[in-house]
Amino acid sequence: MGETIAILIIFFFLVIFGFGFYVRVQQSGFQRQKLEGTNLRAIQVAQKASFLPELQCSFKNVQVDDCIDLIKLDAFGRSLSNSDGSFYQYYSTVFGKSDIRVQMVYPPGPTYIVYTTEVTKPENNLSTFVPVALYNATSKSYSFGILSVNTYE
Amino acid sequence: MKKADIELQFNWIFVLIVGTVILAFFIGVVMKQKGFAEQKTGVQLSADLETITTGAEVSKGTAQIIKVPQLGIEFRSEDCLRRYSIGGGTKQYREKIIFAPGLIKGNEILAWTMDWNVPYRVTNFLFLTSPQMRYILIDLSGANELAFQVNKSLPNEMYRELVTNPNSIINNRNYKVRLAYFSALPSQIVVPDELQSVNDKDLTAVNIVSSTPYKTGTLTFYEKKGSSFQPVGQTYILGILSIYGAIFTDDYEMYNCNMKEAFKKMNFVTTIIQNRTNVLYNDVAICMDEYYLSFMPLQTIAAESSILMSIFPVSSQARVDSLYNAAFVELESSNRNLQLQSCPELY
Repeated sequence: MGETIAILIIFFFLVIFGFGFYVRVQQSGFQRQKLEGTNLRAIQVAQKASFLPELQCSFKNVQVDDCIDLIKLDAFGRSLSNSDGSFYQYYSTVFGKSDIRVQMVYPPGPTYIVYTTEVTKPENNLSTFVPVALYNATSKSYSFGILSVNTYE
Repeated sequence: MKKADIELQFNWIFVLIVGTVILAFFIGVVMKQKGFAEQKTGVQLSADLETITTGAEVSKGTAQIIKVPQLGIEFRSEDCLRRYSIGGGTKQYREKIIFAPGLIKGNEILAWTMDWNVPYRVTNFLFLTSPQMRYILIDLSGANELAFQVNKSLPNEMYRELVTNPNSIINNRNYKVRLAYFSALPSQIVVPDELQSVNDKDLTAVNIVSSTPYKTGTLTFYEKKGSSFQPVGQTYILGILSIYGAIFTDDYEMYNCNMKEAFKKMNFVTTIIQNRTNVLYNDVAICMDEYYLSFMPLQTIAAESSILMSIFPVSSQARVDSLYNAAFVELESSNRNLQLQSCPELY
């Protein structure tokens, strides 16, 4: 009887040990998946920002990829801060916890804040940079800029 | 009874109890794992669908078949909270505009993306369905231009056909069938004989009434109740894409909620275009007259879309028509004139 109980104790010890090991493997897999998810979200936000009709250049109603209209950019920023909050609320569902800016690189110029959100403890901060053309419709001229997208967890 | 005999019996009882405990433990672990794996697949598929829909938001004019696990994806809208559920996991898709049937079955999804230009690009509409779902376009007159155009434009991967006589339809036992009538009279919307045996919830219809250039018109959604179709409600279209939307989605509320979301986006995009036009009006003096003329239609679009984003369908078509005139007639004309004068365009 004592022998049987001893075997059972060892058996359950092995089962519990094996189970603990399995849980740890699962947890590391979960962490990896979470990181992949964050990376994916960063790319999604960058994609959304680059192809937003509210910012994109268009000629004869044809959108130009990787081109941002400076007047639209300015209007977008003002609408986000000036309106009754519905504008910001809508775009916060689109961009989530992120910070999107456009920096005029050549000729050197200002940095425009497209969208920003206050994050107290930013975790898994991921940055994506997209080179873009910046179009000024009044002077019909182009500059070179960088669209930077920071996403947080 | 000897002590050894009693011990032997106790041993057997002990083995039985311990064996049951061990068996129960492993069954529990397996059941938990099964549930966990299903949930994981659901979450993974949900994340994949999120990626697909985001990709669709930024690309246009694409149709693709996507392989998915055979879990079934349910789309539903309750108080305009539009959600999809996969394997027990539910996700709200908030700002996205997805027209899909209530259930997508099978291991393939057909995803089709088109950009909603009214007349400037506002957003992309994503149409999802299963290649196993059957769509029947019914042109009773045999000469409806819109029916022909819709049939030609829908993706090849979609299981559809254009018929002139509903009685020629045979039952192919699809899990869902959607009938799209073109300019039919209410009395002509009847359940075809062969489809009488289809479950009520799996057979739906829509009657599309629109004339050239097919940018406005009415839609009436029908549900099968027993042996006949009963109207669920009437609503409106703006642009041919909303006609496709009414064909893809079999739910009246889902259609209207998607349109409300589209009008909300239209309102935001219009605000940006209005601000841009103001800047151009002040900075490009040579074209200021033409910019000035566009203020009124832009104002109308902003005002009407602001109403339609909260109340849709409206009680009369006049509001949609007013939006159509401002957008597709007046604003398009202004933009064309600006092009002719080599001025920066509105959109």
